[in-house]
Amino acid sequence: MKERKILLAEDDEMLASLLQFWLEKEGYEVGIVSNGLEVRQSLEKALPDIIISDIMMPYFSGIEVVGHIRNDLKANLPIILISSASNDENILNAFELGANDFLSKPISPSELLVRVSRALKAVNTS
Amino acid sequence: METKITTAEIESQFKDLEISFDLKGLLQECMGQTALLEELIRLFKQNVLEFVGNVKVHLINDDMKALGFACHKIKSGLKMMKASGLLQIVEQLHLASKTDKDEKHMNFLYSLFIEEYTVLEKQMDGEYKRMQKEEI
Repeated sequence: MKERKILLAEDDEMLASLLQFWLEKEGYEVGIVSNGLEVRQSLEKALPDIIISDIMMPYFSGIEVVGHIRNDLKANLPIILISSASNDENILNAFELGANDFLSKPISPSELLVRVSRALKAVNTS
Repeated sequence: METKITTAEIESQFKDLEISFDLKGLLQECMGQTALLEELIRLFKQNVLEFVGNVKVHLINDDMKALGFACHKIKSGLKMMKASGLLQIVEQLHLASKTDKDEKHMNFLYSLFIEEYTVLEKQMDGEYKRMQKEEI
């Protein structure tokens, strides 16, 4: 089976390392970028199967990344946002722009893997 | 009417501050992989050093937006390490950067963070060595 590609956008290297470990253990191929500008650059080269992005990042926020993917690139790949800030307005804004899911930090491995798998399945069946 | 907190009130808030962290919990999250745990500890120390340097500059420059961002960024690692005492200090610093912006209060919290982290780092290194020995 083809390895599913995940683009992980997280500026905290510690969390990024842990998430990468969990996801790779599950068989996903994980690319890591640490800010919104790098997300855009990476998307210009190739689209992953799914994006997991922090909301608060330098250059472009996770919410701006969602807007860029849905409005500029017109891509429907699943986007899961993560954040430690429980700013309801931000989260609602992200969903309105087209984010598929939201995870609050601290993140549990099982929850992350279920959400990723579910988001990928939803795209496949749509 | 807004009233500023006195130094005595600030200090009393933290008099019972507990130095805590949870390496065993983190090792479980690493699914028992000590190499990954070691890497996370290295990154944690690096993040804290970066935070301490950045906060100092932001306090000198009176850049509250950057100070708030630095606080937000370090919180994730402190939560992963379950360093609740340090997290409490950072949350207070973050709040102060958004509300009263009291320079004295923020400098006190900054010094307290450094003081408490120094203790935590020694304890964490000791705990990690113990865990390595237990593994052998």
